[in-house]
Amino acid sequence: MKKTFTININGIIFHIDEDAYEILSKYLNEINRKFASSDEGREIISDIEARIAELFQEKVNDIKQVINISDINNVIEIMGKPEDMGDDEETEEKETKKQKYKTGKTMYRDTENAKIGGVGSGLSAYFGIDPVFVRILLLASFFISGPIIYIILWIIIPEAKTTAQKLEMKGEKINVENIEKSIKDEFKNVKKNVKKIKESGQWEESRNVFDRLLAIVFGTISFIFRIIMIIVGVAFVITGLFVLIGITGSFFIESWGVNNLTIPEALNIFFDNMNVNIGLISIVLVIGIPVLAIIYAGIKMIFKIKVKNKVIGFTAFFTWIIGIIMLAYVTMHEVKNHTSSANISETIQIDTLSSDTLYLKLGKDFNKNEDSYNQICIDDIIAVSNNNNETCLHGIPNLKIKTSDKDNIEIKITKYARGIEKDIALNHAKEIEYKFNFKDSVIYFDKYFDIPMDRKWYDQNVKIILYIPEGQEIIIDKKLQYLLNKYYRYSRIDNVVKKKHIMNYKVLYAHKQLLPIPKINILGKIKPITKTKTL
Amino acid sequence: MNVENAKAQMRKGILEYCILSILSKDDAYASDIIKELKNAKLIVVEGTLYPLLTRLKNSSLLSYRWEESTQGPPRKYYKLTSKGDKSLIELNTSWKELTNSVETILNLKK
Repeated sequence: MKKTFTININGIIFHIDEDAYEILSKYLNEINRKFASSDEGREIISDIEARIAELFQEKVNDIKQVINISDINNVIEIMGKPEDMGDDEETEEKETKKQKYKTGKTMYRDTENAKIGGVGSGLSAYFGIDPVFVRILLLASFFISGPIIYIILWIIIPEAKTTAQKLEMKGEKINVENIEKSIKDEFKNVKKNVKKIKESGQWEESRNVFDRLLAIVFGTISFIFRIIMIIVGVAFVITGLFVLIGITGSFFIESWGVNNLTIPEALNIFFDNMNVNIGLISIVLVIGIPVLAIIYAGIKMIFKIKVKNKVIGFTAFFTWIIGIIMLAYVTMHEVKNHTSSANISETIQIDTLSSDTLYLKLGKDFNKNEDSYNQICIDDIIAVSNNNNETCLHGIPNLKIKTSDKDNIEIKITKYARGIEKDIALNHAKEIEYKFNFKDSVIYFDKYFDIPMDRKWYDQNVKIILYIPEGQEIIIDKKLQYLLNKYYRYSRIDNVVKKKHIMNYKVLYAHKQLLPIPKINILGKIKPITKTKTL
Repeated sequence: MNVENAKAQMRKGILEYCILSILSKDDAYASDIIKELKNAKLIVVEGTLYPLLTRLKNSSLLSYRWEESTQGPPRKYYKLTSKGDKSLIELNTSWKELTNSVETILNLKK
C-alpha cells in the first residue's frame, strides 16, 4: 500500500505517490526559485506547469491512475533541470540578484488541507510544525478574543492557488541559519565573480564588482530592515492583542472597566437608552478598527505578506468614520441633555427639642430589594440594579451645619438636577426623594437620596443645610460623617464627631477649613458665620 | 574558449530563429513547437523553450491566444506578429550570409 496525494496542476487533478510528490515539489520549487522573481518568470512558470500537466496526462489512463516516481523522473528528464532552462546570462544574473533579496518563503492559506479557511494548515506549513498545535493555538485565541484573530488571518493571508505558491508555502524557514546561509551565498557569488574578472581581465566586467558590492550592501540593509520589520510587527501584534483583550475585557469584566463598571454598565447609567447602544457600537468601531488595523499591519510585517486589499482598507476607514460620527452625535446629544440646570429648595422648621442637646444621626440606607442586586459606586452615585436589569441611582447628600441667628432649628434641603430644558431639569430635581426624621431630640438623616427607577444620571444632587441657633449643644454621631462633608469625610471630621459641642465657631471650623476664621469682637463673642460671604 | 559555452551561444541564436520559422508556417501550440525542435535535435530538454517563448512574446515578436482543448484547460496558441515577420526576414538573410561565410571559411581550410 502506498500513500498518494491529490495535486492540482494547471487546473487538472492528478493522484501522485508520496515519494514522487516529494521529488516533484522539490523540482517545482527549484523552478520557482529560478523564475519567480519577475512577472515574466511567473508566466514562464505557469507555462512550464501547463506542460508538465500535459505530460502527466499522457502518463495516466484508466488502468494506471497514479503518477509514480519513474513518471516524475521521466518528466524531469524531458523538461530538463532548472539550470538547463536558462535564458541568456543577462536575465539569469538579474534573476539571481533579485532572488537573493528574497528571504525564505511566503505565507499562504492551505485550502487543500483546510478545516475552516486553511489558516491553521497554512501557518503550520509555514513554520513546519504539526497543524494540530497550530489549531490548538488558534482555538485558544478564540477564547481570548473570539474569532477575530482567525478572521484577520483569513483576510490577509492569500490562498495558495498555483502549485508554485503551494511550494513556496513550505519553502525555507526564516531562521538565523538560513539568513547566514544566504549571506554566505552572496559572498561566494562575489568571490566567484571577482575571480572570473581576474581570469577574463576585462575592464567591462569590473562594473559587475560594483553591482555585486552594491548587492551585498543592499542585501545586508534589507536583512536588517527585514529584522526590524519583524520586531516592529511583533510589537504591533502584541500591543494590538493586549488592547483588544483590554477592550473586550472592559466590556464584560467589571474590574477591567471604568470604576469597576463594564463599559455598557457605565454608559447605561449616564446615557439615554438609545444612546447607550449607539455609544457602545461607536466605541467598538472607533477603538476597535485602529486596533485591528495595527494587528493587521503587524502580521503583514512579520510574514511579509504583500496584499493590498483596497476594499478592506476603504471599508475599515469608512466604518471608522461612521463610528466617529456616531460618537460625536451621542456626545452632542448627551451634552445637550445636560445643558440646563435647576434646583428646588424647601425649608423645614423644627420647633421643640425634648432635651437640651441635639443629636444628629445617620438614618436609613436605601431600600434593598429582596432580589439580589448589583451595586456599583461612581464617585458619590451608587447604581443599584436588580435581576430584571432595572437600575436605580442613589446619591450621597451633602450636609452642612451652620450657625443661625434665629431661635429655631431649620433644615433647608435643596435638590439640584440638569436637563435638556429648564422644565425638564426642574422635573428631574423634583423627582429626587430625600428624607430625614425628627424624633425627640434626634434628627436622622437618610444616608442616600433616591432617584426614580431607570432615570439616568442628570447630575442630581442634594444639599442639606442645618441651621442651628448659636449656643445650642449638639452631638454628631460618628456615622453621620458620611454626609457631613464629602471631601473631609474620613479625616478632619474626627475631632467633631461623638463629642459634645456647643454650637460655636469651633464646630464650623472643624467642618471646613476653608471657612474664614471668624472675627472675634471686643466682648469675645463669636460673630455668626452665616453672615460671611462664603456661605 | 569554453566549448560548452560556445555551443550554448550558437544554439541560443539559432533556436530563436527556428522558433520564428516554425511559427511562420503555421500558428502552433508550445508542444507542437517542441515536437519540431526535438525532431530536428535542436533542443534536448523542453524546459529551455518556455523562457524563450516568453521573451519573444515580451519583445512582441510573438503573440498568443488561448485555445480551448478537448482534454484539460485551454492552451496557448502562438502566432507570429508583423514585427516577428520582419525580424524573420532579416534573420533569413543573415542566416544565409552566415552559412555562406562559414562554408567559405571551412572550404578554405581544405
